[in-house]
Amino acid sequence: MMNVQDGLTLLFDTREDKLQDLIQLLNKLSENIEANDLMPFGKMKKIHFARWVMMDATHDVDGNPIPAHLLFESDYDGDEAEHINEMLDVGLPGFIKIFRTCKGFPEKENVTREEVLVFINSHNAPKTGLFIGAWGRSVEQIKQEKELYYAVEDYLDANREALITKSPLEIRNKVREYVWSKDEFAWSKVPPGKRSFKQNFQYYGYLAFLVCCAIILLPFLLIMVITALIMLRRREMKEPATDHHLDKSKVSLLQKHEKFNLQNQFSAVGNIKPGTFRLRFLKKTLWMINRVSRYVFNKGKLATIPSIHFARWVFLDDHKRLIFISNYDGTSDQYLTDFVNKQPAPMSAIFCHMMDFPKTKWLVLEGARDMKGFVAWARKKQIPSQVWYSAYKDITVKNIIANTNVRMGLYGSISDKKAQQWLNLL
Amino acid sequence: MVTLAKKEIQGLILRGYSNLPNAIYLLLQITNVENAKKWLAEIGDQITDGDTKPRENAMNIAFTLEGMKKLGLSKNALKTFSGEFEEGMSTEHKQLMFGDYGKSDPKNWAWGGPHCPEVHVMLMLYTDTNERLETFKKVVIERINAAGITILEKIDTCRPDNEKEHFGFKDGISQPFLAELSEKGPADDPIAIGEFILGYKNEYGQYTDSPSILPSEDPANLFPVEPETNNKDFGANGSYLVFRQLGQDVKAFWDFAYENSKDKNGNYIHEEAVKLASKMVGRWPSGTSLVDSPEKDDPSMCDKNDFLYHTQDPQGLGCPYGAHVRRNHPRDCLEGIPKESSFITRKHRLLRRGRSFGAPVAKSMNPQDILKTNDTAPSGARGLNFICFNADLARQFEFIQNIWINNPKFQSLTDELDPLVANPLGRGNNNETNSFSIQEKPFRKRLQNLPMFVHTMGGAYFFMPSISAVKYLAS
Ligand code: HEM
Ligand code: HEM
Repeated sequence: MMNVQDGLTLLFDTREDKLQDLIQLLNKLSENIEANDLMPFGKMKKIHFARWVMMDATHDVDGNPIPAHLLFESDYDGDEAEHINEMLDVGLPGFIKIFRTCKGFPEKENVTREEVLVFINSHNAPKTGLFIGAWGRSVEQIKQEKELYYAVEDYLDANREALITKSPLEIRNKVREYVWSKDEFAWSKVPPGKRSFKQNFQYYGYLAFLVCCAIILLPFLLIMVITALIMLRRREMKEPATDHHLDKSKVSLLQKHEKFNLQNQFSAVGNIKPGTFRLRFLKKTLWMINRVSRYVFNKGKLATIPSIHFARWVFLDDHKRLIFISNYDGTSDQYLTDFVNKQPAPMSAIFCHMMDFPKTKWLVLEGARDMKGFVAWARKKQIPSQVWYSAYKDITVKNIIANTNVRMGLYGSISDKKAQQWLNLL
Repeated sequence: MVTLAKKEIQGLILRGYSNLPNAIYLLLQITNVENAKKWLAEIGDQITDGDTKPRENAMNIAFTLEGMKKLGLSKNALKTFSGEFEEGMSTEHKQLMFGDYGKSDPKNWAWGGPHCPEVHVMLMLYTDTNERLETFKKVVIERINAAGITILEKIDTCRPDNEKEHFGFKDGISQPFLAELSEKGPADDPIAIGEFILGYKNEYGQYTDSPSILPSEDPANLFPVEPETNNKDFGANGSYLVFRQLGQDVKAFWDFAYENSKDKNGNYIHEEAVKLASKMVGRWPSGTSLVDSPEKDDPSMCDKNDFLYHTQDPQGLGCPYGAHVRRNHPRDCLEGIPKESSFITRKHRLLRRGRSFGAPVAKSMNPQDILKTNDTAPSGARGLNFICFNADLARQFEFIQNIWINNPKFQSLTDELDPLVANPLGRGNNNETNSFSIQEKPFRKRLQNLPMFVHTMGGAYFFMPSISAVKYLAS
């Protein structure tokens, strides 16, 4: 069976009187993220990425106060309940300590695991749009395939003289013989889980369902989309131009949090434009992205951006705000320019419903194409993560996909030509 | 195509001065501001602009942020320079981005590092003959001394006739094509001039953020109005200048090439060593691209620059994916989508204006001669004064240095950095191995543990203002 990944978002209100405690706690976690004694993420085998983010109190578009929040997010394998359980298995003391700084948590000496679980479940934010760069691969698979890849490369180096005169197919068979003779790669004798019958049924059945609906509803859909676009255009025209001013000191502060350079995280939060129209439009768009993303974006690219591991949109505060959370390869500078260079249209289609986004025209034109405006907007909305965990800091999305392809080349009998193509991966 | 205010733009931005092979860069520190301003006003008239091609000598000037502060540019104005410029080149964050660790650590720099005296001004002198440089230099230095300005460094340069850099490869071939500077008219899609000069539209059809002053600070009306803010565009016709003084370990480079191309009996094979070295560069010593001539050097194509990677060499069998020139300007080969790739790489170009320094190991710059010569010069005796212009430091120079040169996961590669110029220490965490693979059939050859061939000896970001802005700073 193919592994399923999903995202969990928990949102809490923080207690002002415990703010310092919280900051200290998060700092402590951050210092030794893998193996601290409160919440050792390294021991949670199902987590790809996780973060704790403190969000300051602010105001909604109408000027009503929004309290300070603490947000937890994780991208995990398998079943959500199991994932939460695993986190509690190793991180219960940490969760309790952190939750003591949040509103609504039982204020007594001994809190039971059950109570913590209830607290978590009652703060679970509903899922909205999710994007996954490397579909179906579990943390374990990603790590194993990385080791396999290195073993194959090293084998080629060590045996270059003997192999270089052989045909591509012979070389591939030699490599396979070697890898499969090793105990640590015994797992690789079996191909990764394919979609089970049930999963296949769901996958293709749902696709068929979507296509049928689209065909049947086509006239209706067209009219709706056109009407919605016209309504949108009227609103777009009324909106003022946004400013291009980049807050340099904030950027340098944010960049100081980027310690790894190979992978980084991005969180941006902001108010949705007033009125129900924008919100409804956004909900529909995210709904659609969620439906079609596994069919359209399943090559590891969020619309040709090949560097995003996970990305997510979640509504906060009674749908007044939207947060965008992602884990990606490279630096934030590169990440933001990638959006503008490669896919301004989808970015505009989603983010134009948020306050201060550069003016769009017909939903997808202008908007994110305005390089200066987009970067200034994104930096304005961006917030730092106090704690950030990645299960595999040194692997890019491209690596993950390439490593799987290297493994897949081991199976079955293939032609000499295919074997050459396989060797080109190395 | 737009009309350039060539009289306003300093000459070095528009020209490489290849007819003026002798040059020296003076790094200066201002102590007495009054005198320095007088001095600046005097030499302000002699700064070479871009309008006429200089025949005998040229002089250009650039300032650090500290320099402009010292000269009294207002706080407001200083804040409008880009964040990258303000941060400089030697912070911890930049160290991580550029790979300046170990020998390249800014703490060890000769200038521009955290422990070095503040550089304020760089004066760049160019002449046709060596004698003229000597007299020119003498006059200029006398005046500098008279104004009480401290000369921190005199950085010599050398420019061999064959235009080779110290490893023995022809340099300065590929530059962005700028319609405004071309006499013959565009052969291919020109790059927007605003990528290199402020005050003109860039590749996004926008004006890159430019330093500005308040209207009240410009009584003489020297600068154009910035449409968005109504401020005066102090940066118009200027450009950010990146200077990194890079030491080259020529012996180490060729030793590595010979050692890793020996035959079965352990003998050096000259042709193979040259080939391996060329694979690292991506061009042959003559300058001919490995894409155009994969098997051997063919000097007849040495200046040919209209080649493409994905179209002509998609598997890297000629020019490896990781070669210096393929990394630094991937042309059509990013993501395997040529059109998108060209669209993107246009946004990451540099106008290179650097020159070598130090005496060549062998005058001919021929690898065989280099190997034969017993070179006793200390490390740092020769290298490249890497100088380039760009309008957006983050998107151009820093992007290239960080995301292309110093990225172990560049494209589809794993644990490889730029084989020629990257620091093998990478981003400082030593779990990265620095290898270089050469695509071949049936499978790639991989060289492990490349040593350090190039190290950073000093560096800083400068701003090269327009002629009017120089006068403004002097007033
Ligand atoms: C299967 C496809 C769809 C169905 C069945 C559907 C159904 C509806 C219904 C029943 C309404 C009115 C109730 C409400 O406002 O919530 C509505 C409103 C709306 N729909 Fe759709 N819709 C579909 C697809 C889309 C798409 C693809 C978009 C554009 C991205 C879209 C944009 C909107 C907007 C903006 C409104 C709000 C109009 C207003 O504020 O008056 N819808 N839709
Ligand atoms: C000592 C250090 C360096 C040496 C010896 C060196 C050498 C060379 C050589 C031989 C070429 C080929 C000639 C040409 O295409 O013009 C070249 C091209 C180039 N180098 Fe370097 N380089 C050095 C440092 C750098 C640095 C630090 C950067 C950028 C941050 C850089 C960026 C480029 C670019 C952009 C090209 C042109 C590629 C193209 O357009 O095809 N180089 N270099």
